[in-house]
Order: sequence, then C-alpha cells, then structure tokens
Amino acid sequence: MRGTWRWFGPRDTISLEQIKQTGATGIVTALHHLYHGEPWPVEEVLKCKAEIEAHDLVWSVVESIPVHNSIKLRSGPYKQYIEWWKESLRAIGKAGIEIVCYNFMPAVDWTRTDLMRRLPTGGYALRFDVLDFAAYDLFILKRDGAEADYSDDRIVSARKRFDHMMPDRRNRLEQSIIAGLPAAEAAYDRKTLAHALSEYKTMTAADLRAHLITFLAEVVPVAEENGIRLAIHPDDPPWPLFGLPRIVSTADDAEAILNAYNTTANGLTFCVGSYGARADNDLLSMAEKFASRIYFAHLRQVKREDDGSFYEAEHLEGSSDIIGVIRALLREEQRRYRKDGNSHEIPMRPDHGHLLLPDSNQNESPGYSLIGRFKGLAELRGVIRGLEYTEQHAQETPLAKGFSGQLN
Amino acid sequence: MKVGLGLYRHMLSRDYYDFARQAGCTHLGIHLVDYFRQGAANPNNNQPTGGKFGYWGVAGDPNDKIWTVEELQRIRREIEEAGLVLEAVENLDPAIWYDILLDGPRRSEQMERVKAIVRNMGEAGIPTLGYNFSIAGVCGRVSGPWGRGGAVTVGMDGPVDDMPIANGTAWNMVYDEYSAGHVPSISHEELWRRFEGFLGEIVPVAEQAGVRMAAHPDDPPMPTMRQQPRLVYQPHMYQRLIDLVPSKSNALELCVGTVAEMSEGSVYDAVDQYSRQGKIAYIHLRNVVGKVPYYRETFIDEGDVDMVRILSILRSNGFQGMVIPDHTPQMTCSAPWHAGMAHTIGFIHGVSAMFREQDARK
Repeated sequence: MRGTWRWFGPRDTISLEQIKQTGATGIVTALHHLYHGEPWPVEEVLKCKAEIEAHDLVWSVVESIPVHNSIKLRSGPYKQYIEWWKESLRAIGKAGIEIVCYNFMPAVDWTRTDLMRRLPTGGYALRFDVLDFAAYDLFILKRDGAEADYSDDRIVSARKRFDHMMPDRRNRLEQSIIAGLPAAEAAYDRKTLAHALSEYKTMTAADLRAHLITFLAEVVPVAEENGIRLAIHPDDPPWPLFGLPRIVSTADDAEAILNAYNTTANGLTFCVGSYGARADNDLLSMAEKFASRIYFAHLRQVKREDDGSFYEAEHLEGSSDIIGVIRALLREEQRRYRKDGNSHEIPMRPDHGHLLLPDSNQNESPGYSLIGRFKGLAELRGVIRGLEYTEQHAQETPLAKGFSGQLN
Repeated sequence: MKVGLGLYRHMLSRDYYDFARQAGCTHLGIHLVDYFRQGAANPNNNQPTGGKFGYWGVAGDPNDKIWTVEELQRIRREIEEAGLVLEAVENLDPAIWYDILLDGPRRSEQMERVKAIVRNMGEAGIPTLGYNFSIAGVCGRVSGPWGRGGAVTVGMDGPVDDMPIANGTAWNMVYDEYSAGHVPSISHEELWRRFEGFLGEIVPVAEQAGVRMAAHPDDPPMPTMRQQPRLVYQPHMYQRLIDLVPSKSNALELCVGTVAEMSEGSVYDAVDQYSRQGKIAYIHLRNVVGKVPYYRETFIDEGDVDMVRILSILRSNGFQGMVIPDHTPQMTCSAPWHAGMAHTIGFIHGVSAMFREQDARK
C-alpha cells in the first residue's frame, strides 16, 4: 500500500518537506482555494501537481471535489454544479490523477462534539457524544420537530446533560458541531444551519439515494473517459444527523451504490473509522467483500462506547479488526498485480492523529496533528511490513513455522 | 518485550514522562549524565555529537548527589507516579570513572565509587546500568541534511585517527580543561586487560545488588578512533565480553544500529546469538545505511536493517527485555526529537500488534 498524507495546500501548517520526511510517498489534496463547487481549471491542477512533484512526491488522490448541496437536493442550479464537477474531473484526468474521493452527506459533513477530548495519557482525541449532540439539536439549535428523531429516554438524558452544561461548554459544543472542521465543505452559524437543514426537510433516504444514483449516472461515464476511479467516502458518523438521511453508512448502502453502476470507475473509499463507528458494520467482511472496488483507504479507528458515542482511538486500538482489513487490502493489491501488473496500489493514509504534547505547541487543526499522524503512519507501516514479512516466510519454511509454534 | 523510551538528563520531567505514555511506552531508560553541558557545538534538542573532531560537553555533574539512593529513589518515584517503570540508567559520568578507562592513578578510588553507584541503584530498585567501556567514546561523527526529505541526520565520513585525544578528556567529554598533551595510544590487548579488571570487580557487586551491567558496543564501531583501540567493534566481540565473567549481571545493551554498522558479520545473527543466550538486557533500535567508516543514520522504517526480521528474531527467542528507540534523523519542525521517537515507537507497535494478531489467529 502506498502511504499517503493529507495536505491542505500551501496554507497547511505542515509543509511538503515535512511530509516527505514522514516517509509518505503520496499526497492527498484538493484545490482547497477553489472549494465551493466551482470548476477546477486544468492549469491550477497542474500547478498544484508540479508543486507536489517538486518535492519528489506524487499526487495520489484528490480528496475531495465537494458535491454542492444543490446536487444533493437536486434543485436550484444543480445542473450547473454537475457540469462544473465534470469539468473538474476532466482537469484532474488531464493531470493524470486517477483517484477521486467524494462524499454525499446532506448539509453537514464530518461531525464531532468534542475536539479536545483528554485521554488518560494526556493526549487529545476527537469525540462524538450522542447525548451532547442530542442536547445541541434539541435545546440549543431547537430544531423544529427534533423530538421525533430521539427516543423519550434519550430526550430526558439529553435534557439532563444540557442542564448541567456551563455556558462556555455550550458555546464550544456549538463551535465543534457547526463551525466547520478542517476540510469540512461548509461552516455555519445557528441561523444558516437552520436554513440549510430546512432545505432538506421533506427528503427521505430513498430520495437522497436516487439523487446520488442520478448524479453517478452523469459523472461515472466522465470519470471512465478520463481514467479516473471515483471513491465515495462513507458518512461520518454513519447515521442520520439533524433528522437528515444518510445513505453511505452500511454494507448494504455500499453495495447498492456499487451495484447501481457496476463498473470500475464507481468505487469506494474504505474509511475504517467512519464505517467502524457502527457496531453492525463488520469491517473485515466488508473489506473482503468490496476489495476489488476499494481504491483508497483511511486507516484510522474509533472506539465505540455503549450508548453509540465514540472517540478516535490510536490507529491500532479501536473497535475494528484493522489488521484484518489491512491484510485483506494487501491481498487485493496482489490480486490486481497478478491480473494486470499495474495500478495495483491502494493509497492509504493515517487520519485524525491524536494531539500529542509537542503537537499542542504547533497550533494544528483538530485531527491533523504532525506528530500524532506521523506516529499513526508508522504504526500502519509496521503492520504492513510485518504482514508482508510473515506472508513471505510462512510460504517458504515449514520448519521455521513449526519452530516458532513450539516457542509459543 | 517491553517498549520504552530513552530520556536525556534534561528531559527528566513530567512533560517528557507524559509524552512517553502518549507515544505508547511503558518503560524508561534514562541518562543521568548531562552530555550537553557547556558543549558549544552540541545543542540539546538532538543526540550529542560535538562534530567530527570536537567533544560533547563538560563532564562532572554540579549535582553530584544524583547518584545517591535518595536521588535515584526520587527520580524512580516521579517516573512511577507518571505511570511508567524505570528500567535502566544509561551511562556513567566520565568524571566518575575516567581513570578506570585510562588506568590512571585514581583508578581504585573510582572503582569504589562505581561500586557504590551500583549498590545505590540496587537499593533504589533500578535493575539495569547501561555502560560503554570506551576511551574515545561516541565521537568522530558528522551531521547534515542527508536524511529522508532533507532531515538532518548523523553519520560517519571516514576515520578520525588523525586527531588524538587531548589529556583531560575521556569518553568524548572533558573532565579536566587544564591538561596539556594527548592521551597515549594503547593496544587492544591492553584495553581488554583494563576491561577485564573492571568487569571482574564490578560484576560480583552488581550480582549482589541485583543490577545487570549492560554493555553498549563501540559507536562508531571502528577498530580505533582517535588513536585509541575499541572494545566491541565486531559482532563476535560481544561473545568474548560475555565469556569473560559468566553471570546474569554481565549483560548487553545491544544497539542494533551500531551492530549493523560493523564491517563483519550479520546483525540478524548477532541479535539471534545474544538473545538466545538471554544476554540482552535491553535494546537500542535504530536503522542505518552503510557501514563504518561511511554510514548514515536513518528513520526506523528505511535503511539497511529489516526491523521486522529483528523483532521477529527477538520474539522467537522469547526476549522479555526493553526495546527503546535510538537516535533518529530530525524532522524539520519545532519538536524533531519527539517526532522521531513517536515514529520509531509507532513502528515497533505496528509490528508488535501484527505479531499479537498472528498469535491470536493460531
């Protein structure tokens, strides 16, 4: 697997030089300065690519071309935005970049309630707390009809949580939820959020899925023509927020999307942390099942809690079988290699590293620490190297295998 | 296998202990010698080098009490309060034992001091004392932006025998600034004679104190540096050291990077040979490209050494000791030491997690 690193462009506090030093060989980025649905000019894409290559790195994945809300709503100027999306695809194809990650979350994308959750070791992690979220939705945002989306028990517990929250905590909660995390496609205040949500008011999951499928009908052929594989990122968290449907949350969702256009250009970003936030997603069987259509992997993990909350754990210590997933992806790479001898690599990146002590002096964006992610990348590389080593040696010497078995 | 972190003297504080836990360590190896003191060409945000022909800092701690039972216990307690285990103290101050290395007039007095330190460590419950029986010490190395992505790293650019050691200097630190002249050269056999005398006296004391003496190989592992012989500069020389005084207290602080730099033998065979005998007290893990007298230190996941193979050998041989990161290249950031350590520890954890998963599948 190619180790990659997300870079937010020239304004990122982490430089391409530093990324080169991490040992990542691929860059995951977007034209972050053109990020609201407008088309990406090919010159801009080439300029960014040249900057990356000047550091002896490759631009492995575009993450993401944002999908404008009008496309998800299929209303207003959506046709224009789809044309622009296709135009961006063509520019990316001209630059020779083959993988494009995107998502289809309505109104709000990745969401957390706490950006500085202190860990027992003194580091900080991102966390999503279902009660804090409900408290915000019900008692701070006071969304119309919110009560219908929660059980009575949860409303009572959320009320209690809200009543015990100091005003500064309420402010921080609101900032965390709506002010826009790094790479979020939109930032809101309370009024603009309420407006954005109201636009989706009558939309069902079936409607949203239909809008995604019709969107794919338009963009998949363009991707195909331009040698691009699309890789849809799952919802994060993978369940409805603010009463809005989410449709890229489960194995069934992924299967429906792949089957809608059963072609190479229509594939998945396998985000272990996002899918893994649901206990009913079996990540290993999903990785095995969808392997041939997985083009990009986010190898972070979450630790699920009993009430559905989760926090972002160490890369190797969450609730999912991440080592099994990595093994499945390595085997898929071998399969692709045997099949056609090239384009077999699956770029992977560490994601949302913890904020470690020395990171906190460096003013990093939540989840995008330098040292925490550097450590995450090394952990993943240790697993990958280890799996490669043992698979090689398992085949060659039955004697050595018996020997180590004895000692164990 | 225990995963630890090595901390320099100026890092013995809660911030660094917390960082060790955040990086995923359970154990610590600590330095009580301040290598950086008054060393002008020796900034303390990285390993000490002193440059190709210079020295580290000035030996002899103003706080001589650091080696008392009370101070050792205090440090151990602070480390335990931070949720870690103090596994080893690494290196003696050259000011304490220079005449043992040089066979000088204060040898027997200094021998008594070292014995007292070993007893103090035993009393303070610190199980390992790393040491490096070397006249020239870790010296003669250069640094530059030769690492991955231009990270500054350390290496060797040819022999440094042209430059003899000034009197008043031992182990690459200055213990007497007012000496004139140079330390006379001696033979390898004379060095081994001095070492045998030291080991024969110290091991029985260490046994009694419940402390393991853990010998670091010569870094860089050249036959001679600055006209002085080196003790352990090929992998097989560790066996001679072990066989001199057979005892659990006569053990090794095996540095994978240093062994890989040696001109003969194989680092895998060496790790196998010495871990099989149960002789490794703890391990420094570092990767490297090249061998003496031309090599460069690298990040753990690149370089000549297959670290998975090293860790696999240790696992097969049931190694229970501590593994700590050794030096790393310096990432261009405000905390290059932290970055390099977190990265090395992360890699070790990745490989270990994979081994655990394999065991669970059996």
